[in-house]
Amino acid sequence: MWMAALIGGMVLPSQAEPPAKIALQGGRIIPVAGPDIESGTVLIENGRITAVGPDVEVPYDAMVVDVSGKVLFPGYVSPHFFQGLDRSNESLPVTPYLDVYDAMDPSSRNFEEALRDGVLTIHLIQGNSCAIGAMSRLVHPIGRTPDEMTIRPGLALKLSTSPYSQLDRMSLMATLRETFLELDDYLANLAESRYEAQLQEEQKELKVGPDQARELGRPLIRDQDCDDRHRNLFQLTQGRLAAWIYCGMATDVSPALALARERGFFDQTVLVLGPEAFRAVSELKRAKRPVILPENLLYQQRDPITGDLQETFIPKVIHEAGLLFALQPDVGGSLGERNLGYQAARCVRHGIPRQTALEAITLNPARMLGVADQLGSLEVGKAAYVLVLSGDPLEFNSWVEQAYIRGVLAYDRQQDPRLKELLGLPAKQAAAVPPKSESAPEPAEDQAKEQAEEPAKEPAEEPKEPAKEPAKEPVPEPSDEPAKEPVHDPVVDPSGSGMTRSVAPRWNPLTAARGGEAV
Amino acid sequence: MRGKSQWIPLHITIMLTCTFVWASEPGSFVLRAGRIMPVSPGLPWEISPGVIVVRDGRIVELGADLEVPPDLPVIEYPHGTIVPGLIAASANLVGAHQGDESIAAGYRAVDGFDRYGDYQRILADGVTTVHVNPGGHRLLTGQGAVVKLGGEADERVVREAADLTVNLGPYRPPLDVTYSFPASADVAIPEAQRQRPSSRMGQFLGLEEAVHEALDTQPSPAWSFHRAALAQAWTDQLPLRIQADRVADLLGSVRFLRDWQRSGYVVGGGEADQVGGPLHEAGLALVLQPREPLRAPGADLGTDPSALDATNCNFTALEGIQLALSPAADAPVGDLRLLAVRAAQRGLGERRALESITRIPAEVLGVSNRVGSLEPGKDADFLVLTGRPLDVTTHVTRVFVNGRTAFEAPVSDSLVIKAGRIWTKPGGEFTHGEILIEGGKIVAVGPSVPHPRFARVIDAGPDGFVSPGFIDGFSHLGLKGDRSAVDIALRLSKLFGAADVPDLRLCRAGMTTVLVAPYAVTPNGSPMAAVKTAGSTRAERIVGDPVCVLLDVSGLDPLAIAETLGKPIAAGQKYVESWANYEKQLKEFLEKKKSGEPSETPGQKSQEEVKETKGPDPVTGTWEATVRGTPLGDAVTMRLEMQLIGVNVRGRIASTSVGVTGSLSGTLAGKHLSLVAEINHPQAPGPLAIEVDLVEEDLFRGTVSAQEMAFPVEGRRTDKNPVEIEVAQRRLRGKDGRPLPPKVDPALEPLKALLEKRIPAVVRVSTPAQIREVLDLLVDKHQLQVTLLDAPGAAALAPRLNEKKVAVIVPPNPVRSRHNQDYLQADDLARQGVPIVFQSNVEDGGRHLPAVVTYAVEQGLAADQALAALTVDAARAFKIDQRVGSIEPGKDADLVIFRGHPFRSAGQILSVVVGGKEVTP
Repeated sequence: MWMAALIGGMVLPSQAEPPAKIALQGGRIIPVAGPDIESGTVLIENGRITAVGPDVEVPYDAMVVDVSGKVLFPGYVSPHFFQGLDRSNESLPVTPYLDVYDAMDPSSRNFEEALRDGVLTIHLIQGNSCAIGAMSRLVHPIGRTPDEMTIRPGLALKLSTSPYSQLDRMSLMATLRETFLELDDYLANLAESRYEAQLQEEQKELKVGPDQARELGRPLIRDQDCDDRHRNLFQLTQGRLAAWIYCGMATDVSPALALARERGFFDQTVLVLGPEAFRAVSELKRAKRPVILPENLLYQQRDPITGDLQETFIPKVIHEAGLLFALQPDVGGSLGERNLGYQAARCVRHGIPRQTALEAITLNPARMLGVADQLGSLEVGKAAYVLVLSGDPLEFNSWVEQAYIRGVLAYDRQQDPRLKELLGLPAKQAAAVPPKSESAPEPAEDQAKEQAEEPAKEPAEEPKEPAKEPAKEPVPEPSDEPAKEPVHDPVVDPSGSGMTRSVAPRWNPLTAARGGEAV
Repeated sequence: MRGKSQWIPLHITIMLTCTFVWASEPGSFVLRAGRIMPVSPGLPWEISPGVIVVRDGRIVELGADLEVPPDLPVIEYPHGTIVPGLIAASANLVGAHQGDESIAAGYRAVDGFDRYGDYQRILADGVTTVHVNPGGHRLLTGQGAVVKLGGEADERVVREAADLTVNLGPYRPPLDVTYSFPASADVAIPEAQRQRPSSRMGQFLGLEEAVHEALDTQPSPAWSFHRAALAQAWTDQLPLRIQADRVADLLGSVRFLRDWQRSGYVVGGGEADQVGGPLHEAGLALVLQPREPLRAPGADLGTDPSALDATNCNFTALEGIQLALSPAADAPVGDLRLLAVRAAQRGLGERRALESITRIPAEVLGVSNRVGSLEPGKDADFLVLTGRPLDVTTHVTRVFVNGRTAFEAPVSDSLVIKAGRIWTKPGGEFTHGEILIEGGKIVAVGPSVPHPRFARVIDAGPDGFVSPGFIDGFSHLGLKGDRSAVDIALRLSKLFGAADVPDLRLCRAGMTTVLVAPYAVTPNGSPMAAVKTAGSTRAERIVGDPVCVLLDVSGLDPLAIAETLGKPIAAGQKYVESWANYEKQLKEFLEKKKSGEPSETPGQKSQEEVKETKGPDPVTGTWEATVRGTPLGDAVTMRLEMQLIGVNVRGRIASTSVGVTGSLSGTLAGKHLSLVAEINHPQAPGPLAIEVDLVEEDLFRGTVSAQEMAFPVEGRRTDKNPVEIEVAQRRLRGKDGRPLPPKVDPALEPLKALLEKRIPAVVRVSTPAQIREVLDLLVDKHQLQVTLLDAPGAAALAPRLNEKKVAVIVPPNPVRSRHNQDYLQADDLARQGVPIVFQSNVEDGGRHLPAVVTYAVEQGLAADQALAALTVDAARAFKIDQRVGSIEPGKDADLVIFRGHPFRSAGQILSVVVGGKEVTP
């Protein structure tokens, strides 16, 4: 509806043409919408899913990828993501005229990590430190420019009823009230002038008083009549824009809902909950608005008198209240919580049905964003955001083997340069630690092997590496060893850009321990 | 499946029970309390005891004698005092807003209030409703609100916009900078302007200016949020809450409010007692914020010399003014009650002080239709206190907000009992004393004891009388008619588990400990046990078992007493010696081991003898056996001496060719004989198993096996006569030569305890001659502690009894007829200095013992003597006075609380405490 009014164009991040038809064959399919298929095929044509099922007729010209033994799953949707922005917040509290577009950093490590963790759709939104923040947009974690990354712009305005360092709760609420009262004042004046302009156009005389003119002029206001400062707020109050309201604490929920009700965007409101906001569950239940849960799903509370610790698993409370909820990954964390599959698995462990948990990381956020017709499941007609997982998404040992974004192989674990560095390093360095003359031939062999393997794969795939770190020259060894002896392995960038990266010699606990034993 | 279906009804029952409890929880109940203080002008100051009926979170009825609606659950606080939830007319819960404006009516303190906040610490101090303000840092900071600290989150706000907060006093208004939008290099940022008013003198002028500007619509100014908010607030007639300390500010406030025809009240009031008259005339309410350095004795009372120093406040000058108290802005809200306590001490009086933290602040804040006093129709916000609200030691036990529990003191094992009189032991009596009980023991007794936080308090009132729990010196509780003589090896405590109905019936009569004895006594004596009448486990209930050795010589010829009692005593002495010997040996062994000397070679001594003589049978007799086998080399011969008793075989290995001996035991099954041989050798590998068949008469064949090895054995009987053998039952020394303890004999243990003077002997006697014999033997010869039972003729020997401190358990009926006259043996003995103990001699009829004693007192026994006989003298007679019988630190908390002296005015029992737990009457 209102979403249709916005630009629906999906900009393809195409460098080279991807194959028009891809058949992912032989894997176990978890479509999220509908029952699992033990062994089947997902057919992608021109970036859309055209067939899903156990017996799919594969066109003769389709590129067939054998994914037997693997699991096909819709790309995870991260519903509330501000880590990819240059700065996640604005210093002014009220900035509805800004757009995250201006702060997007396509080279951010966070996008690369998201891709590696299977997050193929990201709702990029301003951080929580604001009263009324910038306009959000839906992106995927590949592309060299903000435009290439964008799936849909102009999705929602970020609001917050939670205080932050520069704005206490009282000032924040006063600011919100002031903003909307000022909007009323602005629109009233605008309506009056629009009515007068209309009369002038129709060459009629003004016969009514200013109050009536304001009322009559109200429907005449068009988006282009508003100035930048008020346009998005005007759309918001007309229910044409979504509002994502951050409620850090339970007490913030009621003002958020009251504001949304009073200003006419209640039906477009999604609440982003902070660590203890779930305690307002009875209010949330009555409001029946979708909620985004905090990264830390376990809430711990100590009794101030007895010191007893009480633990609450937040999704359980929310699920029992019958609310639509989505899970967030702990972006930047180093534990399992950074993985959406793990978050969903914890829900299942605490008694939430598997289907609900799976939807909480795919379909539910898509529903909240109004793109459930395009994203969030493996269904015919939807955009092809497909993960090839090594196992069940709720299995902690599963990882992303491949990720297809609209038919483009966006990620391939075999070709992941960072994983190569991280996982390949210990073996080589362990060998390199003893006298260097002995270790010299080994890296040369490895390098030769890699170089021999890579060209064979390259033509078939066009992996897009979002993280394009600047090329570095191999760090010269600050010693009097002969320069020809490579201390660290240059790893060839599999993107084929010809970039080489050096592996800086770092302290590695694994090899350090091993070295110690050897001595 | 069957097991499952059995559980279903139980599940349903539990669910129904839960539902019932739940259904009754939301704010509907009846509360009965010892004292209710409604703080309402239309109601008595104290209703004692009183009842409150609460429905759906509101008070419906309140009074002394109300009919309890049958549909409501009843909550009982017989020792509790109920007062309205305290109201702090000022609280620093929200903090100051961060805005820059000197006058800004648009900030609302209610926005800053965390409705889901956990205010348990403040509730624990009794404060349920507070006023929150948007800060005291600007001239007009915004709108205050009245909120509750408990109850459902969406019901916590009582008044969203209660007043406009004005702060008078020295301050520096912030600079005001307006930035252009959008920021541009073309537009200069204007210089910061100091906001008006810039001085203390201009405060009222500044306010008036702001109000005029807000109300003035001609010419229409540019829209401003705070101006619009002020206009709205002014039109809504919001009262002004003026923070003012100095005389000039106070008088200025009076004038400002009069000029503008506004309602309002003053907060702070450091110099208010100097302008009491004008404030009274203006009808201005006052929220005093006394500065009490409760937590920091050396604290500077603030830089403002006009701040109210509570120590110097002249409360009489404020007579007639509506006066509320509240903590200063930088003090904890929970101090409110203590502030009232201090103000009451300084001349405000209990009544006004309590009103100043309940009813008056509610009126000042405009919420008296809901909170501040206990009246029908108001919110059920009240506190259950442990004592009078303005006693320093009073604590909050429970807090109700909207009829629901908002705070409940954590379960504490501390109990404080207050009473007009406390009788600790003969000659030890406190008037207006207190007892502190922790962990079931008495911790402190005295005129005042520590009141740990959340301790429960039982206040018996000025005519309350506390005595130690009563002791029944001789009863048959729990025997249920079993009249058999009980062997001394048995333990009567096995009869007792969790306190049963008969036990509790005794307990409620004040009998907290009973001495349980069997109806009949064995010649070797019988055991007795001291058992408490309340408690949920056996361990809680048993004071001593065996608590004494009960002997009966009442039917004996006095001349036979020495011989009859001599036998068990001799056995006991032997047993005591064996233990003493063991302990001596052990000590020697340990000393030797310490010094490194080699210990004695292990040996054994025969202790038990098996003497049985019977006709020939297939086994009994002497057997010569030969064991052969490869690893042995030469054959080993051994002589076995065995005896068949039923199918059991006992015997020994009398000798062997390898020089070891041992014991045998086993069974005969048909022709098969299974024996286990214990070898007496420190290096013995363990018992030998001998499995043989009686193949012919006097011939057996089979195997001997030790651990993994087995050897063939063959034996012949050489003699069919049983050999009188002494079977070694146990080793006396362990493998390392350590002496092993003698076997514990439950029949001899009580005698051991008696002879070691750990427990006394209780001897039933009937004639003076018997008493004399018993005293000669037990007291003089063996130096034992003796208590005489019944002893009708004891008075004849009173001087001797007195000298030896021998107590007498007087017969159940204390008044008997002697020489056709009423004779009170108890009194006769007591007057001659003999300790006396009362007995019931029945099962659970012991609950009438206090009545019997009352009769004895009526017949002439001293009332305090009667108390001593029931408590400390009884405890001493049974050597259990380390635990019960008196009220002293370290003793068990077994107490009876009376109204009045139990034997002087036949006081009514208010409560019985056993092991620190109140036994509900």
